[in-house]
Amino acid sequence: MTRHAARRAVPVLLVPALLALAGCGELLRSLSRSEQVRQSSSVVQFLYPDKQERVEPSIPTLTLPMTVGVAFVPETAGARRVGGGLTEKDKAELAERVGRQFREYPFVKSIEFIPPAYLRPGGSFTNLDQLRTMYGVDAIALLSYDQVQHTDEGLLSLTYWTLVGAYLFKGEKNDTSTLMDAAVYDIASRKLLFRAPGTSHVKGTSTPVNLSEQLRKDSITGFEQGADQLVANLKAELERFRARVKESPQEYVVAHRSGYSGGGSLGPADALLAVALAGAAWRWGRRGRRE
Amino acid sequence: MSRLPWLTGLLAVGCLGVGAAPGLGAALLWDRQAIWAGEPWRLVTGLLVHLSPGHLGWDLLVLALAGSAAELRSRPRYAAALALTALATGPLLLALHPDLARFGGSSGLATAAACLLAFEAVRAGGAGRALGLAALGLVAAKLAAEWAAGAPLLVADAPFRPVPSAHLVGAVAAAAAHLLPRRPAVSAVG
Repeated sequence: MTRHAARRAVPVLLVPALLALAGCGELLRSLSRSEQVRQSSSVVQFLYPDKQERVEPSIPTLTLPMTVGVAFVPETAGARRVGGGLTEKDKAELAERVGRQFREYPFVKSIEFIPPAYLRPGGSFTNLDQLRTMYGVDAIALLSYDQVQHTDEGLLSLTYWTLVGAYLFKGEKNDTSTLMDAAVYDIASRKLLFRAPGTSHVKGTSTPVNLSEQLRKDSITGFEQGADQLVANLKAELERFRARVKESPQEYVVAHRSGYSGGGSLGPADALLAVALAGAAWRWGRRGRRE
Repeated sequence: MSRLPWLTGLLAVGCLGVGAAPGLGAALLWDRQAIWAGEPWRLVTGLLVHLSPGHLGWDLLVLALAGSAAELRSRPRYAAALALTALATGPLLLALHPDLARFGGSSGLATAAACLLAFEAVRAGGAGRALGLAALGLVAAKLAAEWAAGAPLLVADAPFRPVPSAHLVGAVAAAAAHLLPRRPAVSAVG
């Protein structure tokens, strides 16, 4: 090659070399790319939107049997949904599961499921007072959630360069962490009666082609598993709350309204009396004093 | 007459069976709205349904002890006391407690059994008379205290309001059964 030809060849060869370097750089960037998506709602933001305002809870009067409301608090502003996330149908099903836990108890008269549209962002206790008037609820279980989805690319993502690999190889590593919470408030006294959490962690993989579909499935699975744990914890916390009410009468006032459940009540003293009477009857039998 | 208290056994099995099947309990519980809606069996079957494990445990224990003894002493009187209690409790609660939405428990039946034994003890005389009178006095005192307090006495797990009327019905049914005519004693003539 002559010197002139070599000098002319350099820029020609430089362009593809630079392009190759750029491609490698892009490949390296894509290998280290990580995405995060979050969707959440917050009971604290709903009830205490104005951080300056203080709300002092008072001693709750639990008028039995109670009407309990179940509602999802509005989503946090800026929350992003991944392909739909928790749909209204999912929320209704979860609210039904939570409500069923309360229905088992005779001191709960009824459950009211409150549509999410009736809770305003930052509605606070004023919003709850309105719901109390509309639905006649004494206490309300406020449901909230926080779900974060991470997506990273694994080694298999190298196969994407083959184009076919993007359809066949699951190089996307997905991580979905979900936290759900049920906080039960007595509306009149503004007091938090008890709360129960539920968490889940779903790991999965997908191809880049069906990434959004897989993320949607992981999201739903995350909510379902979180809801399972929440419902189990709610049952336990409800029992602890019942015990607390009995043990701390100075913290909770219990009143009864008409329409309550009643029952005859016997206890150890009655059993002792029955033993004494049965023993005496047995002695009569031994003496042959029968009709 | 059979020497086994099978009537009490049957009642106990019924209560346990209903307790083990919450769906069945819901269908048999004394429920004011359901009764007026055309489910009259609840007036009687409600006595087999209990509102908590503690409620079931104590009611069943007293019923088993007092009921077995009362049945072995005189099955006809015992059956009469149970029948009167079962038939009278539901309608009386409907009439006398308009604020009561639901009711459950076999304590009325257990009280009927215990009171029947107490009446028999009083009739027997001697030391039994004192025991019978003391037992009847204790039952009356407990009824009065529960009426006044509006809360179950001596029962730890009681998510319901006490209804002493159910026990009163049992006591009155026992008194009525006790007063049923007795067969004259048969004496051997040698």
